Amino acid sequence: MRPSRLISLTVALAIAGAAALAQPPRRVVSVNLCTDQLALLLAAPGQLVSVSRLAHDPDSSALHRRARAIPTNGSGAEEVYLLNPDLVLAGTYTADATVRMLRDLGIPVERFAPARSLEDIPARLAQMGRALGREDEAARQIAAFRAELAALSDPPARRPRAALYYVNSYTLGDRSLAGAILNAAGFANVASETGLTHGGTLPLEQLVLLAPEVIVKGRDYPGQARAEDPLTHPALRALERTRVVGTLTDRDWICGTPLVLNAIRRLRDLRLSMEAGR
Amino acid sequence: MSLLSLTDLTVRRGTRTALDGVSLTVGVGECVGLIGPNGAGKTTLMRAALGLLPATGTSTLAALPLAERARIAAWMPQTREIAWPVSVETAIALGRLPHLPRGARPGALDRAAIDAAIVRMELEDYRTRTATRLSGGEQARVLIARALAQDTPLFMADEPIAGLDPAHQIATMKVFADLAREGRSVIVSLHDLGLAARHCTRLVMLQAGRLVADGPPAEVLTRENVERVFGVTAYYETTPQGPVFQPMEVVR
Amino acid sequence: MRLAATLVALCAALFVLSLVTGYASVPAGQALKALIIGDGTPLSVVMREIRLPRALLAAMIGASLGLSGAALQGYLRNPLAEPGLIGISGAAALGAVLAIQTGLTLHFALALPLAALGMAVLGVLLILALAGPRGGSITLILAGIAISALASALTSLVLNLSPNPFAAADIVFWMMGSLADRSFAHVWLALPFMALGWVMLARLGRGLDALTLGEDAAQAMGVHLPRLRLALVIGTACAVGAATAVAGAIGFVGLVVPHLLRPLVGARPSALLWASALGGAAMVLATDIAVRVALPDRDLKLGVLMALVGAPLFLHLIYKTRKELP
Repeated sequence: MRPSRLISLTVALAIAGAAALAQPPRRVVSVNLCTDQLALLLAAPGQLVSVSRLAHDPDSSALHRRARAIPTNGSGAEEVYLLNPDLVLAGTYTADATVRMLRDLGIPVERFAPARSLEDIPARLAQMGRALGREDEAARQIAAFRAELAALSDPPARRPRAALYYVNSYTLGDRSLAGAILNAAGFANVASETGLTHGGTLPLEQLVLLAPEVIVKGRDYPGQARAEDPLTHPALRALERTRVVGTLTDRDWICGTPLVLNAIRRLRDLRLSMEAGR
Repeated sequence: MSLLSLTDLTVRRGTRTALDGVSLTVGVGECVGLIGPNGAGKTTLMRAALGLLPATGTSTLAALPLAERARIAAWMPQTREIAWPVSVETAIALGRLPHLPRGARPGALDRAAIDAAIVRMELEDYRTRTATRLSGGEQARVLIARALAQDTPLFMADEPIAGLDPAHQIATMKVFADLAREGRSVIVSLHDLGLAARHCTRLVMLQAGRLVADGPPAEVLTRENVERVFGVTAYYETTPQGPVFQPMEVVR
Repeated sequence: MRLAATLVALCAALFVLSLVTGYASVPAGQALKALIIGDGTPLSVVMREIRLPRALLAAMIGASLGLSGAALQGYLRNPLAEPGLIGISGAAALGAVLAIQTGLTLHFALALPLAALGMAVLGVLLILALAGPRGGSITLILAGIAISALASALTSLVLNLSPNPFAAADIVFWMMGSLADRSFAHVWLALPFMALGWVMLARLGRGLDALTLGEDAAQAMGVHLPRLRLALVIGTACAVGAATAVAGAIGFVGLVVPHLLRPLVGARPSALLWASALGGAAMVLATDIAVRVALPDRDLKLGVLMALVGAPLFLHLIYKTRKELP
């Protein structure tokens, strides 16, 4: 193929893509758990034709019940292409090869960055609203989210110190969605005392010496792994003034959607019950 | 009194009979030379007698409990193995194991036995040397001394003088003869029929697992026996310096 | 006796050093005070619940591996025999992984050391069967490679099949070993089996001494070989199985320690047993301190450091013994 023809073909495809976007997409395929959630919240009936496999997993997917009605895909380019979509929703961490191949095949792909703060949530909702041609619905949900968040975020009298603790002694700092949830619920994250802002390994020793009032453990995965051992270490029980909160379900924490309000509410209730118990 | 009495001792290895109905009694003061060509069953006989091989028939030694047997019979195997770089003295002191209760350190009696064995095998200058760095012949002398240190009424050794220089071969055979004179019993296998004739009080000749002759050297090392069993002619004479035996020609 | 005193002093010093080494830097005096007084402060929790079991396990595991190495070498009369190299640790790790991944350990905690022990017995028996009575170097190493490869492949398979997303990452732990975040639960789980193993192996000294002169000579000196072999198999499996069940497979301890100490005890296998137990404890304590000092914020695996020291020595030993190789 000659270069000039290649260029004209590319231009033609780009114009076709832009034209397609002018109309709301009619066959939307999502290949990422978080875009699944956003699309399930905003899509018009019948607009979303396939979600990622994880969307049906009750442990990971906050909207797994709603997702049940929609078939799943394995997130591979071939499988997605055969679904004949006019828009593919992917995360910024979705495999580049998959995204590039789909785009080469002429399918528009809209990519969503993971949320790292509560402010990212309205932004993602707005982005999804634009992509699906559902701007009004998005605006309505953004307003509802802001209102409910404001209602939950009354400033606490005292911020109890808390730690998020996951498999492999991993913790998350203030600049993460989970850290933002913790903050919004009125806790102070001890990770920031150690200088961790985003996240990282917090050795068990250090966690014990920090002696937070609450340790919020990540979800329990099926089966067993040694990497989970620090979560059950007797030293955590031996701390007299520390409350270890078991499996706060994680599916509300994973994706930046209004559903994180559930997580904030549960943590806030915990804080209020701690205040009452004093 | 006899320390070792074998009755109809038989060892089968697969379909082959390695030892075929050997009966034998060894009395006090005897230095028995076990002779026979390669594969005649000398090693098999001694190991079966000690109970180290499954055998049919009876052996008074094999019937004893392990610990007791170790205080009655010392055994120097043909394979000369010293696995670790221990000192000569340490290797020889291993011979005292059967006499030491668990965890006990060697006492005066043990030291005396070890020293006597060292003197007997002329190893005084070797005491602190590393046994594994010695030559093959020197190692053999250390292992003989080890068996001597066990200080048992019965001493058994499988080709102990193979690889020794002539002086040490003669000296070692004299040690065995001395042991017998002291009232112990010795059974030693060897290929040097000349040394066997000079130093043993009794020879046991094996062929293909069978005992074919048993008695004083002059009665066993007859021209017919030597020709039939070893396939050689030999010169045998009793001289003022004792018996002289020298194999001459191969007849087969 | 001077050697014994030196080794005991070394172990004691390293034990204290291990207690005051950690991810959180705390003055040594304050740390030890918190350990002894135990006033429920976070520091005393760290000392009593995290660092003390860790130091204890390091010493126990080191002693088990050193002792097993010395005993195996004494029996096979081969300085290359080492529980990790010849696949016994690998087999024990497989047992432990099976017990965990089948969920057996959830109902019955002792299933962990027992399964490791069971597989370790299998590993030792296989090695003894393959290497023969006088474990020749070539057969020993080849048999070890085969058993290790099979055990690690099966371990990886089991972990990869686990529904837990983090199980596959555990492969490194089971192959390389680590004492990070172990607790007293692990101490109590391992100690009874290790103690049994220590007693069984420590009693082998006399027989192993006699074996210096070969099987025939040893038997003629009153050593009951089948009984010795049984005690060796069970003792090694108990010690190595329990150690591996709680800390993963830690290689080379049983190779390096007896090799360094052999000249100091006059090469006597019986003296090498207790010396290697003490030396092994010191080595694992020292290594576990080193992994925390070298990379404080990562869980550097013990086996990595151990192999960096042990593998060159292993090569040296192969070079040295190649003359005896057929």
